[in-house]
Amino acid sequence: MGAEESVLTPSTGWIVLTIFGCAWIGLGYYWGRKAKNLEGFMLAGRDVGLALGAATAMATWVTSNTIMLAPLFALQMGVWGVLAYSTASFGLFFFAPMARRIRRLMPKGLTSGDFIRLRYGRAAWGVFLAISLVYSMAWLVSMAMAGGIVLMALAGIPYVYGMSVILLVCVIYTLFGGLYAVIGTDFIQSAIILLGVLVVGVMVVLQVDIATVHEDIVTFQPALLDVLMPVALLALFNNMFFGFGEVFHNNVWWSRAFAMREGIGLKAFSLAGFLWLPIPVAAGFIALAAGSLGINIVDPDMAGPLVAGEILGSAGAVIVFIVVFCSLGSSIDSLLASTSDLLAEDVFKRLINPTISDAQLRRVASLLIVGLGVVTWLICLPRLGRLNEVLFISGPLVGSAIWVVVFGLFYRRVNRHAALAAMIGGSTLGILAYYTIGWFTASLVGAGVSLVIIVAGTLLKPGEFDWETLDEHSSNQASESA
Amino acid sequence: MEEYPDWLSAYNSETAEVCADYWQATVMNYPSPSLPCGGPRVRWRPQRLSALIALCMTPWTLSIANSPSAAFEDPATEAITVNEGHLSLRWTTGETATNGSMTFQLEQTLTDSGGQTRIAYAGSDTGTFISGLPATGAIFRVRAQAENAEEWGAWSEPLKVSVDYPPRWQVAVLSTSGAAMFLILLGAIVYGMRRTSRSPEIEAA
Amino acid sequence: MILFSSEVFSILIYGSLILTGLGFLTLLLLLWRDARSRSIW
Repeated sequence: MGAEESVLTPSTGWIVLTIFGCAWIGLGYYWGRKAKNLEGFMLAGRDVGLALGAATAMATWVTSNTIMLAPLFALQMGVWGVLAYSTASFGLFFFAPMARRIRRLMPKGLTSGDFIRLRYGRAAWGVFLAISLVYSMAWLVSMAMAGGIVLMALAGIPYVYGMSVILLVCVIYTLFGGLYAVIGTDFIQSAIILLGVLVVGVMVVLQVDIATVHEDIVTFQPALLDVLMPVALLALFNNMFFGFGEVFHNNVWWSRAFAMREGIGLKAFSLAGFLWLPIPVAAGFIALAAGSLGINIVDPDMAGPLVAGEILGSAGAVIVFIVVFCSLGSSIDSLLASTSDLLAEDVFKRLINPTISDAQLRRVASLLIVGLGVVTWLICLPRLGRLNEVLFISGPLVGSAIWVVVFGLFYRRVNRHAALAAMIGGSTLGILAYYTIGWFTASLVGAGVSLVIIVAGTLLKPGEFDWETLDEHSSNQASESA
Repeated sequence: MEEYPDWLSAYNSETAEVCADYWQATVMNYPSPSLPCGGPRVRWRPQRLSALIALCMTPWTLSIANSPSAAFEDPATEAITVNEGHLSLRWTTGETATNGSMTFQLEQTLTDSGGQTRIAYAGSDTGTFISGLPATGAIFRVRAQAENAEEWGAWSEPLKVSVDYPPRWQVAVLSTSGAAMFLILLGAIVYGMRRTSRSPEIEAA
Repeated sequence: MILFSSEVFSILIYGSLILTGLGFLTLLLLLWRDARSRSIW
């Protein structure tokens, strides 16, 4: 098979896209009928159970990168390459107790922005919103671009068509069904992802003994087995803190915390962490087995699909294609829903029109889903390679918000000025570190600087926050007209 | 007679000898230590000359598939340093294959004390991805064999790949500070969780 | 250079596949359990 050919024909790719696209849209419409009001649309009625809760958290965190980059990292950095990737699951584990705390503190909360606004005041809220929107757009754009690129590489579908179809399908079913559609499809997508990774992995180990793989790489590719592989260890904690920042601050995860039934959040996110943990290793190791299987890797970016295709024929290639499509869908739909919620609740309602009714707000959120889809499509159209850099730069931004969220949830004494300064200081110095020292320090510096500032500020001038303030609905009930 | 291509033995032995010398002198003019014919010098005796003329006038229906020499295309240099222990290698024979496909062999020799060698790739692709190189690096050579040829072409110029991994102190500093922050985060969450789990109102000091 | 041994290497890979399989089964089991108690969402 030449390097230029894709593993699947375009017609096969289009057939798969059509089948699954129609399925998601159909299910989105069907489940959308459960969304009777704003809470139904944005938060699936605040009654999501453990199975769906765990699945949606895991599936949203599995992106096409997880499936396509894991083999690449295995090839480039070996065992530590995929182990380091697995530590991204720590974000889910650490968020678990926070999800429980969030639900308890804000039983009627809607967004992460609500928390920051009530906890720290408008200035910090503004900075936090800016960070969140920059990161969310960067993630959304990078996912849509990755989708177009991967569909082109896997099935020869032209970039613009592939990227457009993915966005269109996700916008439509998110629009129809809100968070019900998102979470429902996430369950199916998570099952497919796990099964797909398992099937391909098992087929590989049936064809070649893992001890043989080890033997084949130990002499001439020893760095892949290095217990202290420098390239992987260099970025280990940086990437881990990028992950912490992503999960702790973003409304994608906060909306799930609000949506889950009382008592479910901690278990669901912990379970999601366990579900996510083995995936980089299970998906990545197949690239290491390529040599032992007699498969030559010319383009390391395509190592995963190449090995799957060689082992399982076109069935293997189709499996990878489906798994990638599912991982894209499960992330893009969540981003569309949660980012539109954030803009609707925090910008439209809180900043522009506080008296907006729930019904109107739902309509605004719907329009925003379409709007976000259109804006993302326009940005992705020219396929600018440098857009990924925006995602990397958001590392220090979100890293600076880690302590703001964690301390804000559990510690009464953190004051608003310290939080504001921590986000600004961490973001600025983190971005500086990105360009002067290296990308592999940016999130660490952002988080580290933020930590120093917030602790110093709190020790110098401790605040005294009343947790009741966060339960806005009941604390305002007396003073608010219906 | 030493090992000459099969088609030569179709000629009578004297002609074959001349042809073989001619072959060595003109056709196989690459410095190839692996070639068996160290070779007698051509002595232009009349018989040899007539045989040579006969040879030259023979309709050259037999295609001699020569194996051309291969060379690295990317990187097209003698030595290269990589930062992460991996690189893509591409090679070419510098001519389009007219007699079917070429097969290649990529040889890798470690430059540490062991000095082991292996064929890292054998097949018809014109490139491969090399990774996991130790800090001491490796030397690569590639050669080609045309489809109808008996012999391999000459080895390419060796390509020396060195690896410049990030310095250990950098890794240590980042790992230590990262690990410290990790523990602080873990502690903050666990401690905060414990203090607030009794009821939402009771919080940490 | 200290290298991961063949045993550790095998454990990591087989272990990841086992965990992935267990995860898949767990999700299905939980869904079934939630469906029985009518508490899916």
